[in-house]
Amino acid sequence: MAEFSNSGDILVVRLTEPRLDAARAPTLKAALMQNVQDKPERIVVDAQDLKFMDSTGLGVVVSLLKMMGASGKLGIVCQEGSVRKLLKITKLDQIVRPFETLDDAVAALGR
Amino acid sequence: MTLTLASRLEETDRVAAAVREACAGAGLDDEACANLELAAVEAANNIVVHGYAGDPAQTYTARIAAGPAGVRLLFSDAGIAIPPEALAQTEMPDWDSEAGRGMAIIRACVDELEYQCVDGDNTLLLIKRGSL
Repeated sequence: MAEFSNSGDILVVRLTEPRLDAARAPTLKAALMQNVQDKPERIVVDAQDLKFMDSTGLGVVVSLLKMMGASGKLGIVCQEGSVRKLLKITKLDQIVRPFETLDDAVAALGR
Repeated sequence: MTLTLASRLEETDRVAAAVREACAGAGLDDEACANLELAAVEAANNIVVHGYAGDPAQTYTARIAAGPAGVRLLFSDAGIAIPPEALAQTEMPDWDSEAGRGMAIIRACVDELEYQCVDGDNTLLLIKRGSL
């Protein structure tokens, strides 16, 4: 469901499955709670392989945001399509910044 | 096409697949298909989580009709009715809410929405129009 790595001081969470919905969201949330500790300041969610996300999956992304420090910055890597559209509909793209590539996200959040 | 679904979240994959197939058959573009798939999954989630309160022994149906005018998706269940204030939701909750966006997303993704609760039977009709 998710792989965790670091790029400098940025935590990268790569979503490995094509769907993140209400049936799958609890598994991801458990993995985040186990692996995201000490209130990281910068996280990139690499969702390049994610083809579908519903509001419950989005809720897990929100929970990740709340696991971060008060000045934390969260980016998400996703192509144009349904995931980015969901961020826009819900206006969460104003808080979770979308990027085209992982390099773009790491460069922007690393500044 | 009519699907009879157990009230389990895992079953929403079947709804999503059927909606994608119907949208392709109706010639809807990728964005319209993705929107209706999202609306359909949110509606199915609502039935399972709120309508039937997670009781996996219950069932509901999804009737899907595709044509040149678009795709019609009719959910039928016998669970708890959608409260009027939830049905009317168009605004998104605060950013830090981890739930509560479903109905607003459905409304943002479809062209028409009709809901009825008659004698304990609930029907939710979602329509996504084609480009004709």
